Amino acid sequence: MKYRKISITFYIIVIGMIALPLISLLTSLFEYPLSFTDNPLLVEAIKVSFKSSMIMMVFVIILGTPIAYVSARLSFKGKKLLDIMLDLPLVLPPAVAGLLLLMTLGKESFIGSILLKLGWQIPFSLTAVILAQLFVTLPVYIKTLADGFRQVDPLLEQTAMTLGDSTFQAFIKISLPLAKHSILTGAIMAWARGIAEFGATIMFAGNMPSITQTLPLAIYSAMESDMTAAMNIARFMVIVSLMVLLVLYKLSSKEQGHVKG
Amino acid sequence: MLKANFIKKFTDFKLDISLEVAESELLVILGKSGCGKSTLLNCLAGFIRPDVGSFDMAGKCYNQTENNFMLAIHKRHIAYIQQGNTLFPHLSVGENILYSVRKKKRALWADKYEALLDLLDINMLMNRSVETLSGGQKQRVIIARALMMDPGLVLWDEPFTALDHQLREELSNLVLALKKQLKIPMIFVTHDLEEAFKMADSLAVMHEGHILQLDDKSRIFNHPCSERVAQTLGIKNRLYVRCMDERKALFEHTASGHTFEVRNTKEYLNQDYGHEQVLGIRPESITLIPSIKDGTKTNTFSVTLMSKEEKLNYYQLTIKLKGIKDLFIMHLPKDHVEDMVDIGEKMSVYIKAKDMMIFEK
Repeated sequence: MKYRKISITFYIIVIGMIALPLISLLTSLFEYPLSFTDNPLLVEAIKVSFKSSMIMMVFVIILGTPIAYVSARLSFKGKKLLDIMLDLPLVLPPAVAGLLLLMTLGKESFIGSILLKLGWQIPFSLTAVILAQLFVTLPVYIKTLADGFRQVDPLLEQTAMTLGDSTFQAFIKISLPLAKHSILTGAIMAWARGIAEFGATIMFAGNMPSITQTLPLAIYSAMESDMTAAMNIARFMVIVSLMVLLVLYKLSSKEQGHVKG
Repeated sequence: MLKANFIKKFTDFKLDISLEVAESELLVILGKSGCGKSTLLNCLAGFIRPDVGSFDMAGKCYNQTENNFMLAIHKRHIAYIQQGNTLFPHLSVGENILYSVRKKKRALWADKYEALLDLLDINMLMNRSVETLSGGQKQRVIIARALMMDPGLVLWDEPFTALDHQLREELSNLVLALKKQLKIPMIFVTHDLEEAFKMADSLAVMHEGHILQLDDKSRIFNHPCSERVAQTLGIKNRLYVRCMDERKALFEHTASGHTFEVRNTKEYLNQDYGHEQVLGIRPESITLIPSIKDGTKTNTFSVTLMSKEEKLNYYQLTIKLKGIKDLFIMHLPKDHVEDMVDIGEKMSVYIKAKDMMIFEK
């Protein structure tokens, strides 16, 4: 009984820790009035954020889906090590990730210098924003989708093959439709992670308005000069985050993966 | 005619088999879990590549390791009905059944489709979601889906294990009806002795990756070739004997000296005097008789009742024959219950000479 009381107290404290900043965002309306339209910083940041995150999502899905399938289905020597490598960006501090990307693709690096000779400078460009987002979000998508593929009974794919499907056809006609909720959940979580990306982006892509300045970077810049703009960008991001959560909840309630028997 | 021989080595297991199945024959493979039954089916279906071997059927080559040839799974046209629910949950019953037929060609297959629905009695289920079907209906749809592709061979891997007894009966009758109608070879894997006896034309007993005996079902049930096969076939009473008199087919129990007259020895009998063989007696072959003096009549024995257990249609009795360490199991029909003595008391039993069998250790 005592343990239950302590648990409930902790629960209320944690909910308060999350709710209070949200309440202060609302109460700040008196000091920093709401304005989404009359805010060029916000409009430009939205453009950069959405453009980069949408391109990033195309790559996440194209690259992440087969990797998630391999991770869920195949086992081979050294796979555990590769799985750990895939998870590394999840635990790596974003600033370190940005620095590593800069070291790999920056002007001074081997690859970067070759690309520069070909007339393609990656750091401090929209491509850098996309790459930074891709680096930190790909594991989120792969992990979610791999769990989804694991829920699909491999016997169903085998059965499809005995019924005339090639391995690829069985993947397209059986595994993908049965893992569709995981694909959507993974994609939304990856997109939400990508749009909130700050550390890796500022290190690798910089903070150039209209070019590499995403929403979180715009808040950071506005804090120094225009607190009203910063607060409005923050409010916009809170609304986007709540929408993402709503969609995720809706999806998880619909989830009907075919669980192994 | 299906001819297959495979050798496949795993870390702690080796499959080494050779089998032949005639056109329209149902071969039942019987063996305990882990004996390699499913591995064999996976080799035939193409999921496992054998290290050495070949597999051909009706003049078509499916596997030839010598030439490094292995026909892809989806080109084999082998129906593989496995344990559990393998229906695709995102498709309707009708879409499941027509899965193997390409959409453009479905009109051409309409007659076969209708005939299958009638045969399996599933016409009413077509637009239902597979999640709403009962266990028996699911199995019928799985069978319809497998047969829709016109298979050249049907593999059944303990398909009805998870179902209740009545449903198993019903579905095994359906398989027999299908066999009669389709006239294609079938291989049915089970560990259930009754199911095996009911379904089989021929029977293969498997143990640790090998087929110990492959024969017509009556022959194999009456003449198991070894003690291991006898054990798999439910011959619970086994004792070591030596041939005493070849002409009279008299055998002597090595340790106790009891003699048994056996008229079911056929070619498995090793007539060398002194060669130790195994005498097998089915529990249902031992019958209670009015009390007589031990040994006064052939194959009659005085035994002590050690325990009794009531089953659905009979009593299972454990009896001890003087001088024999191992206990015997016998089945006493319920209408003979008045002949049964109390535990610890003596009674007389008779074993028919033609119901006993001799096989190698």
